[in-house]
Amino acid sequence: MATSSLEYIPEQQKSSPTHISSGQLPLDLHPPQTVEDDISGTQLGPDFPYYIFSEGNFLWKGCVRQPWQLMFCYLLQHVEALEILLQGLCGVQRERLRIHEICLKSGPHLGTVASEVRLLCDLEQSEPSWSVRHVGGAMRGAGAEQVSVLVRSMVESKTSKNALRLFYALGYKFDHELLRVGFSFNFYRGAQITVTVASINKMLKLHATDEAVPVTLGIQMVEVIAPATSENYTEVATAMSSFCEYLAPLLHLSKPGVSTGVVPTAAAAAAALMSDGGGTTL
Amino acid sequence: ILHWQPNQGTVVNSQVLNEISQCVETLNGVKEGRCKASLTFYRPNLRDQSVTIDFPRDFLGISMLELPNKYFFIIRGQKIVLEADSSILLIMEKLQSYKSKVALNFEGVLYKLGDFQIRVIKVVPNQAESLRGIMVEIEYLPISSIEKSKQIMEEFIDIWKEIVAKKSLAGQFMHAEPNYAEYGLGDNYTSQHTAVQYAAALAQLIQSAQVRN
Repeated sequence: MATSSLEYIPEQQKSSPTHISSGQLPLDLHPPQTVEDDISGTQLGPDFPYYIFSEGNFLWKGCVRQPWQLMFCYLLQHVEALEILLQGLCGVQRERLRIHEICLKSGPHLGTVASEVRLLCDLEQSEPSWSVRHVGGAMRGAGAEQVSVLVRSMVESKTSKNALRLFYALGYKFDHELLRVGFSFNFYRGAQITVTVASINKMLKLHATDEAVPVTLGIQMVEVIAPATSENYTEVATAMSSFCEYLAPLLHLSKPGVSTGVVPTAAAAAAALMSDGGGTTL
Repeated sequence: ILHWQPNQGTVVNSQVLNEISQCVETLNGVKEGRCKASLTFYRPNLRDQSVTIDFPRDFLGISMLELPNKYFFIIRGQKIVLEADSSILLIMEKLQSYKSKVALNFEGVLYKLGDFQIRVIKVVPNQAESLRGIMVEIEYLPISSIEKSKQIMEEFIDIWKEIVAKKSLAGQFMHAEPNYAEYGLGDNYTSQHTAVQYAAALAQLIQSAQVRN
């Protein structure tokens, strides 16, 4: 198990400002500490054409020695174009995604340190299916510096439907919840890659997934994930980076702390994709 | 599941276990193999010991050898049962909020009798050999519906009890079906039902041991 090399660190303070294409309202945006921070802290106007922020995060699934690599980026427009691009790149059918994510934190006194667990409910299936996920701390050290992403541990377990009741009974408390709605592609390209494009929505009433509204109108989150082992994660990181380069016409992905800015030609690239249904080679 | 209730003043021992196994063979039961389940009691890891009462005292984890990729959690007091992948154990380890305290094994011999399957189970502590209890698990294979199989199960149990009674052993088998609906379980029998039965049988064994002591 590689978890002995993982140390928990708080997310690094990212100080580089986000570049915004000319002609847009200047915004005072600070890169987020975590994905959740970004969702709650971002405030963008609805008439903003697009904004791209990139961050890399690498999740390590310790239990079966399969780290998951994760890269995030956010894009406002061009979702349809991205879908066309992905369809062409992946060669597989997209799958619809509707996931209710509930984050629980341990109540007072429970555990020598506070703990956090996430319950995921897949609402796209005819019968909602549940899983429990634990995301741990980030990797530090020379190995971490060399890869283009952050490394974190992650363990997931499918469960029957009583997971929420069980964790409440054990002393865990509700912290926050999200609804991710979008689509995903799962394919092999040097590594088994899953690309997810989804809007992040919040519920106005507790657990009311039918009444969810986008946290920030128009923002979608893109995640690129691939499993790997402690032995081959650098190769998988390379495979993922290569794949992400194909997305460059529309968006950039990079390690946290490195500003990438917007893709100046994204609008044109998107238009090209949309007009001929993805036949254009970019 | 039937659990063995020794008479007042007696304890269960391997002699009783042998006699019970012989009963199965009397019915022409054919030995098919072994089975095992492990039951673990979990206690909260607390910074302040005085708040123990706020946390469940009967939080139990069950693994079954026949289902190596699954793990079951039960909180009897609140009628909660959860079936999970065995990776849930790693999650619990990472959370560090609960620690395993006591573990018991249900070690059984599996017999086939026509459409029935019987497991003669001895309850032993995890690290020791001492016999703490005996159980018999009866399964009627053709039907998964609890309601539909009720009559034939009861008839079989009656026959079983008669055969055991002939041996004049110092005890008897007790049978108390848990209320599955309270756990949110349906009529179709699943491994979650088994987990609930194991937990209930164990609770009854512990209770009768406490009464005697």
